[in-house]
Amino acid sequence: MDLESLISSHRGSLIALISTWGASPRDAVELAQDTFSEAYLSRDRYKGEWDDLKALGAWLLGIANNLFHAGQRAGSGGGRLISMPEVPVADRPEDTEAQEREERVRGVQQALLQLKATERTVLLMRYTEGSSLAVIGSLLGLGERAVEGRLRRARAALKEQLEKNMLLEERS
Amino acid sequence: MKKPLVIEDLIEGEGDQLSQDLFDGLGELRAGHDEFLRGVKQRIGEEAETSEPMESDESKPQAILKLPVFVQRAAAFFPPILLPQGMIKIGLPVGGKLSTKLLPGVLLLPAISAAMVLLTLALGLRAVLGGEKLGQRQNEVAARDDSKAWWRRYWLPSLVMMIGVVWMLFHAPADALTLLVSFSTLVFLGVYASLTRAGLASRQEVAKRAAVAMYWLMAISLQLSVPDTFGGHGLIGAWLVPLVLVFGGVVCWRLGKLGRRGRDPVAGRSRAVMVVCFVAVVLALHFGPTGKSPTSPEDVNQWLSSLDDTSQINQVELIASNMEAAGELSFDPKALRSAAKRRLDEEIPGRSFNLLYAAALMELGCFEEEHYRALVNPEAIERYTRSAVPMANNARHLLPVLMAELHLGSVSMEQREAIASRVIAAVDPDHKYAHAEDVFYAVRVLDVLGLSDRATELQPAADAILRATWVLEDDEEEGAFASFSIGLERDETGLARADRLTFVWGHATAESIWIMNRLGVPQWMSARDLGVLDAYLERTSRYYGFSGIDAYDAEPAAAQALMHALPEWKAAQAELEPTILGTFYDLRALLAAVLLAAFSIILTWMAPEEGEEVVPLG
Repeated sequence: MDLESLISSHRGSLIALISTWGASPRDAVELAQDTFSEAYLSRDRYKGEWDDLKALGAWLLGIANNLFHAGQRAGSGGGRLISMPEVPVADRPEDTEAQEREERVRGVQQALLQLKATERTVLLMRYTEGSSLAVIGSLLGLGERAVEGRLRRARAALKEQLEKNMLLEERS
Repeated sequence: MKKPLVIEDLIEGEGDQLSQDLFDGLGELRAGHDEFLRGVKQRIGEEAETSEPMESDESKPQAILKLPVFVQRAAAFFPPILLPQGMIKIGLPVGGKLSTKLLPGVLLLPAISAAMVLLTLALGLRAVLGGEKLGQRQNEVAARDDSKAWWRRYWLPSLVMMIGVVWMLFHAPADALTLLVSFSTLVFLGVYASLTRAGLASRQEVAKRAAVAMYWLMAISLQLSVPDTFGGHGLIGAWLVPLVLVFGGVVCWRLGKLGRRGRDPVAGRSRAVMVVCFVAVVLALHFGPTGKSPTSPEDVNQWLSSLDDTSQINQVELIASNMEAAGELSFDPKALRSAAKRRLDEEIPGRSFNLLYAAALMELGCFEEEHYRALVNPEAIERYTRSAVPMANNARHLLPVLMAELHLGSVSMEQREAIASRVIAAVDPDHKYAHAEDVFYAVRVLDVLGLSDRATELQPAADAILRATWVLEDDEEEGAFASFSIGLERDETGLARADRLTFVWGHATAESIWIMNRLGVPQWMSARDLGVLDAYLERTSRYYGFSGIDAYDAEPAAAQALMHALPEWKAAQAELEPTILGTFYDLRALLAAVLLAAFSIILTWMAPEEGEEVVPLG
């Protein structure tokens, strides 16, 4: 496996995972870049097989974890729990489809923040870049079936939260 | 136009609008591939070949691929910090699925877990103490990362293995645990032997691992099975096995150092100090207050002299009786008698005195005239002689009343014979709660009555009770007499067996040996039975230096002293003259230690020195 393939397969889920530790989106991207570069520089120390996703995930996670904590100790990194991008209100008021979509996205962002941490983590890791169940599992130390189960539950919880929020909005 | 979400392994219901909305909502976390890669390249250098395989195939196959498959798989199980530099430098082609590493994993786990526990402790200690140079600190940070990664991956099997070892400690024969640990260490060193032959491990590295393995086994041999296994062979058990291992470790270490020309002598010295400290701590733990020492007759006499507590007076009296019968009793009873007087002066007038303690106090000379007078009960004696049926209670209840009566009054010969007959008839070996104590007190009563010659009438019953309560350990290393025959598990021959013999049977065993001294060793007891009984007494009489001796240590020690004075024991010693095979069996731990030390020394000697050319196989 080459570095570019490794980045392609793991980038999205790793950035998402780091962001759930409390790093801002920008810091999460930076830290993920640090992680991949550190992995490349210390590749001789990796003792698993390069096609063993589980070992690879555990190794990357270890590096990311160490860098994150080292950064925290040094006073950099960390900060807010998770920040969602502000979705700008559509420029053209007549474009109702775009407006609806933006409303929906904003609703999803708000509902995400109201979920349990494990549910939010798996959703972020999956939908940031559409990472595979195997890659997510390798970083979380879970099997594909377990990730799938967790994802289903998280999606159900998100839908429920969205409905709740909608009801509240209608009442207000 | 918004970018669409692409998922290759869609799950049921995932291709909906919600997924796309999630994707859209997480845009800030998304980094473009090229931009992201540029950031990574800035960190590792623009010239880095990011599209080339990360493993470096040119250097490793020649040396590694010719290693035995077992070694390749085993090496994948090793934490990098335990692997030789030669292997680290060229990387590892091994690893793969867990199932392929199962066999080497199972074999290596005890040794590697132990090494990792020691290493983690050492790294933790270094982190707390600090003070090292920058280069060393970087190495230690890397070592800590390696160690963390290993624990993260193997914490569960390691935990299972440790629980298994603790279980074995209490429920499996000592040899099984020793075998497991030794075999695992041998496999560990065997893997290193293969790496050495392939030119991947240097002499210094082999020496380090071999020496650590020796010290680890030395600690195990001191703390676990060897002292018990070689209970009767003081020198071999307590000293020789650990000494051989220490010697092996020192030789390996020295051989490793011979090849370190021009190295930092301080680092070498500090390592040597650490080894010496480790050995000293282990020896101090074993031979100091936290280690167990055998209780000698002198220790028992000292303990008896210092005793000013009568709460275990029946045990104390049995200890003194056995010591006296062995010709070893020489204690000063002053403290004991003062304590007894205080108790009797308080409890007899207050009518709270328990008669079951009286006979022991009388035997130990703690009773004074007024105490005897308080117990005299001629009517009770009259009542005992009125009937001819066997006595309902055992002779333990009769003994103090009889002793008081004989001390102050008189009991006719007719009465004595009548009581003796009832007491003898009361010992029923077929009773489900029959135990050695029945015979013990019956003989005591006969002695007090001056009818000791009638004790021979108790011999068949005594023989049957001793046989029914005799228990052999499953691995036949120890044997003892249980308190009761009921509840014991028996094999097809009717012999009672137990996986471990409890110290609780020490009292019944001490009484049984007292009986054997009076009535003779039963015919069914072989010389081997006496040997395993001796091993039980030896183990249970060992005491921790920090807690000192108590009645549970002194009782088997006194019983052992008495057993060693028996003519049957001396005859058995001659019969137990070791055969060549038997000697090999008894010396198995020592032979294993010698072979392991020799193997480690040869392995270290054959390994190339650091700096020599690494010669790949083929």
